[in-house]
Amino acid sequence: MTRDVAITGYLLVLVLGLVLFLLPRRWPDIWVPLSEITGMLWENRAARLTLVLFCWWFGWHFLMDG
Amino acid sequence: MRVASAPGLKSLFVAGVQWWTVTMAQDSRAGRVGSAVQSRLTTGSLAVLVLAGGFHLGRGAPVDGATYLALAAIIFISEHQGSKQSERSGLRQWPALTATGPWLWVAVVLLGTALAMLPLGNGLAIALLALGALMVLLAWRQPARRSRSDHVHRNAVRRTFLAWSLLVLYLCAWELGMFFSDHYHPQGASTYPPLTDLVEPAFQQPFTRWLATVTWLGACALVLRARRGKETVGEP
Repeated sequence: MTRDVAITGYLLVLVLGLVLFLLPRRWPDIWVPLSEITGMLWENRAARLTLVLFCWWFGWHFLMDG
Repeated sequence: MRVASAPGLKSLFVAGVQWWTVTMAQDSRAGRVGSAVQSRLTTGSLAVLVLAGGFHLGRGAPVDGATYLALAAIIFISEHQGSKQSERSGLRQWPALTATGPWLWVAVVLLGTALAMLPLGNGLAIALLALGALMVLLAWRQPARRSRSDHVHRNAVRRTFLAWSLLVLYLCAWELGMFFSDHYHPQGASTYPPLTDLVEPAFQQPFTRWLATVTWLGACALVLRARRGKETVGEP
């Protein structure tokens, strides 16, 4: 039961993320695509490299543990 | 090297997201990305890297900690010594992942297969560290700055950014809640599994390990290709 609650919380993130992803297609004047947001972060080198390192770290972490 | 569900890293991620939320919200109100905003982004990112590295070292993950701290040092030195001139001159000089052909995905599958299936031993750590260094190198090049004409919709940008930030903050809060609930629950582990514990089994069985590794490498390639396909020569 408690495990289901935990997983439901993560599934909610997926659902809400999908909604936010699709909103700009329906109301482009109110919402902008996710690529617009990530592009703003991507223009800063430190932020960009931090994102890349976190992305790499996930693979490092799980592969070395496995 | 084992730092499963490191709470420090998650806390730092939350702090980083909060930093970006405030910074970019201010940016949206201003209607432009100025040097002050860029400076705050750089400082915040460096703080996240240093704190993450410190936590990893403190939790007995020296390689992880050294990796974060090394990147922080490299960025700090680069920003300290860098200038707008060097930024411009470096715009088109660094390599970047601009490939769009199928060979990229073939390479992702082949590399993922090797990393997941071959008995590399200590070579796995070396290969992953080399891959990390390559990713940093590919992400180093400063992309051409975009036109600011799209900030006519700055309210939409601000609204969207805040919505995504709230979602990420919720994810971080949930992850932290699950971690501490699971960690201190009297019935033991896996009562409230954090996301890392839910994902980790995918790297245990051969096929799922291969699939997860290829998926991870594919995601890395997509991140590195972000905006590269649209990159045009312009004012930095």
